[in-house]
Amino acid sequence: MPDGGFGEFLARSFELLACEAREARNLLCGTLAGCDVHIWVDGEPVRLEFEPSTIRLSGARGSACIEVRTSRAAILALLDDRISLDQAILRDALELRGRPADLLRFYDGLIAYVHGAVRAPSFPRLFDAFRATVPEEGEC
Amino acid sequence: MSSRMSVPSIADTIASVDFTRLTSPRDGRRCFKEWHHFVVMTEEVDLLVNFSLCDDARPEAPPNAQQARVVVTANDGAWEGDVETFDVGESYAAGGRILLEFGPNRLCFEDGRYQVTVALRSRPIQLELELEPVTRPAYIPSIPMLEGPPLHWVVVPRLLASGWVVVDKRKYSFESVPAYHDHNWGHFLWGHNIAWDWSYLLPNDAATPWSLTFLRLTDRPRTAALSQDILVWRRDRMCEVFREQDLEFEFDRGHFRPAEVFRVPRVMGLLVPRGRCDIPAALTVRGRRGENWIECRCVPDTLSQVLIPSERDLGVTIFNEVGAASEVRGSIDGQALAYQGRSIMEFIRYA
Repeated sequence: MPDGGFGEFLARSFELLACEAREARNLLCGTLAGCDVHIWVDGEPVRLEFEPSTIRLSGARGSACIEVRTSRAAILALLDDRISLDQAILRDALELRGRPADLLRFYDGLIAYVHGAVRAPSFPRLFDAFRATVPEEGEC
Repeated sequence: MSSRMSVPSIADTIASVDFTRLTSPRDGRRCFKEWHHFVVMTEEVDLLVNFSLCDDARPEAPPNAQQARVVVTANDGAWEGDVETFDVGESYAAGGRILLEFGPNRLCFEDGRYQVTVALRSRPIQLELELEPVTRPAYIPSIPMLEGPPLHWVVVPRLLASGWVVVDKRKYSFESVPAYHDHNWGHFLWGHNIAWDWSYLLPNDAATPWSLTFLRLTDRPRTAALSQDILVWRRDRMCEVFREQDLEFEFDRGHFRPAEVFRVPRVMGLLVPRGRCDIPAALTVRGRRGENWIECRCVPDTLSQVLIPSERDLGVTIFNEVGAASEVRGSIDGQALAYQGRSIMEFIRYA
């Protein structure tokens, strides 16, 4: 994973989707167009602004349609199928805030992102780099 | 010149029909697939090993790109395994032979035996297998598909496997345990209008001379069968084929609800909600042709899922690998057959 933290990981992942899995990236952008998402991963803030064909990243500030708080350990547990999305929410390992309609859009956008990630040949290396930043695979 | 026809050995027959086809991706269709599949069942551990080659069908992919994959699952009471994909630079496949080298993993056919070596990079599984075919192969070409040219199938239903496997530091060695092998190739995309229900049935008692495999290819909703067969071997020779209208598949109305479903690759689990497994609680397949008849009943007891991204759309193709206890009875050419066995059935479904 790049030294720049989770924001840099996300930025790199969106670049890979644009190069290697455009259908999924287009679906992600189309699903979340007009939506701002604030993500805190282990306290690090990232702001995502979605438009029909672009994704802008910056530091989280102001209000957003959707707020997400989680940890690298929880993300790794999700990637490794050790925990499901609903289990992560029920265990407070993943906190989502927003209107129900926006949260449903976020879920659809997240699934589009994962569809791209599993199709893009360069993603495993990015995941491996992310995995290396998580100290151990314990409980999230 | 001798007037006696010599019968080719099992090894020579396999070498002549089971070689890797490896259609060139340069044909432009970008949907070629081919895989060699092995299952080994010991008293301590069930193993599934699959080497596959698949054209990279993404529009972003370079024109001749292919993906080489190794799938391994092991169940010794705990599940382990993964799907590992290899770059072009890490993989070698010899068309016209049985020789695949994907990273440290290798499949070849030498001295009349399949040799399989696997060392997964990301999960704690290593194995070395030597598989001696004890039945002659059946070559079933031109299985119809709804979208694209037909699928082809070579099956060696019964082999004797010797070797070892290490699963997370637990080592199992075995000698002459029952095993199964098949090999498919064709031009289609995962996600096309196709599904299948397939199994082999090997006897628990090695002295039992019978082996069989059945296959039903359907459209994706499973409302129309495209092709269905039961192939029966006695000792090394295929002795009966029940085809199409000779067959009846009966699915129990209840669904199989396993306590645990092992899924690989793990990240794909995000795309397939747990609890989704459209597998019957039992499956009975019957065949009748003239005086010959057979009935196979399979009751599932374990489930692993190999989850592959569909290529036609943003969906998931689910290979349900279903461990089952099986019971076979029937009569072939006046000889009664009745045996119990275990098998790993495969049901293709979608999410």
